[in-house]
Amino acid sequence: MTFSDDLRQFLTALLLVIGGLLPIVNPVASAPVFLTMTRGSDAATRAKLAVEIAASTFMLLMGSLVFGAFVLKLFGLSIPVVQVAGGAVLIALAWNLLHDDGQADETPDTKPNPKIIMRAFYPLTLPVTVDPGAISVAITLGANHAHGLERVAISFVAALIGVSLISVAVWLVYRYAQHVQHWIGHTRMMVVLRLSAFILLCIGVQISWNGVRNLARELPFAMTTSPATSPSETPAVETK
Amino acid sequence: MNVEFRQLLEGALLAAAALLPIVNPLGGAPVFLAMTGSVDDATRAMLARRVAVNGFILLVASVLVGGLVLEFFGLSVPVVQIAGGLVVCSLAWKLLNEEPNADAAPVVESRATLATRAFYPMTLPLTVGPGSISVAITIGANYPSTSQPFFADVISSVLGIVAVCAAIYACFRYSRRLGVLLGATGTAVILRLSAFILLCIGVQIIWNGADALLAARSTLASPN
Repeated sequence: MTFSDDLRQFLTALLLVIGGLLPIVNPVASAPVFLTMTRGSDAATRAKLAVEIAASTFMLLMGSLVFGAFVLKLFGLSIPVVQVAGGAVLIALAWNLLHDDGQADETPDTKPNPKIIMRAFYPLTLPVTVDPGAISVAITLGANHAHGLERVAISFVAALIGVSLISVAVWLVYRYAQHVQHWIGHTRMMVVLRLSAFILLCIGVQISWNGVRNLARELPFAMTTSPATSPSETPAVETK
Repeated sequence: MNVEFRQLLEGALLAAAALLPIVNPLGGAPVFLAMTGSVDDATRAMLARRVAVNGFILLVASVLVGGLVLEFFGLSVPVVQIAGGLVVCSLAWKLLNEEPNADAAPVVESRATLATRAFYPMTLPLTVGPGSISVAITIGANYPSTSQPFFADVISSVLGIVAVCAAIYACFRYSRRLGVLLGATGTAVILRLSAFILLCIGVQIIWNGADALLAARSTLASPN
């Protein structure tokens, strides 16, 4: 095992994490949603929220990478089921956002709102920033176990750095989103918001559909289209 | 005697191993803590004891007469899974979208109100869900039908269930300490995460039921 081999493996793992997760996490796309959901908060609260969301994003992605497969196994869950459930959560959120009337941002609170801070994890981090699609990608990336202690350590460090970079990107975008909002103006911001909400809705439908399609593949009568269906995917509990 | 004792132990371990991951008292503890909100420690201990006892009765009843009850009403296990999975999903959805009331005045619920909720929703779908019930029914359905080992099987299953319910009691009784350890933000994060996992569990249970129903149907339609 030479040093250049290690370096190459490290760079591959790093690129895999960033390339796989950053386009899905995509903080630029969720920034308008973040701004709308924190409507009425002052700049200091938003800055604090940006830090908290970035920290939660880091924890959630690292947790999914390292423990995701284990947690799924513990609760007897499969990734398609997480996609169906998570997609439904995302659809509900996007639907509310789409029908949200853009009022009530006239009187910004001066004091930091404790309610908003409590929402830093849900819904701001969990479905808005790190959507279920990102979680399922992270679980899949983490499930590709490398062999040998050294390789595992290299993948872990690569994941750590990759997820840190993504979290920093989330922090930067959310932190400075407000300036962009001022620059764009209220009306155009609402247009951007509706567009993002609609795209979020589509992403939710897509994630759910991916899950449903994968579940449907397990069905016996789908055997003709996908002969690779394994008999081990029968339900855990059987009738006598 | 020695062989019988070992069989007893094996049966108990099997029941505990099958039920514990699905009942999952550790995962249920944050949900229990959130639902009991601001009650004092004595009431919480009372509720934890009641949930553990209810869970025990429910599981033992499912093992012993579950198959009979299903047969009486003409139900199949997959149908119970679909219906129960729907209940779990709707509860998880409610927990997930619950407004955080950190700054609101703590809702003071009387002991009596909480005690009525000890069975539904605290025991019935949250602690012992449809997944656990169908596993318990399966354990009961898999007993060999000869009469003498049946008694030993029941004893061993009951022992296993006792261990599971002791775990429920311990986790729920000390959920408050867990909450203090995690802090307000940590508890909120764990709660939302458990609610999301609960939603996934509900979908998984529905899917398991639907899959079994569809599989049975397709083997009927095309016997090969």
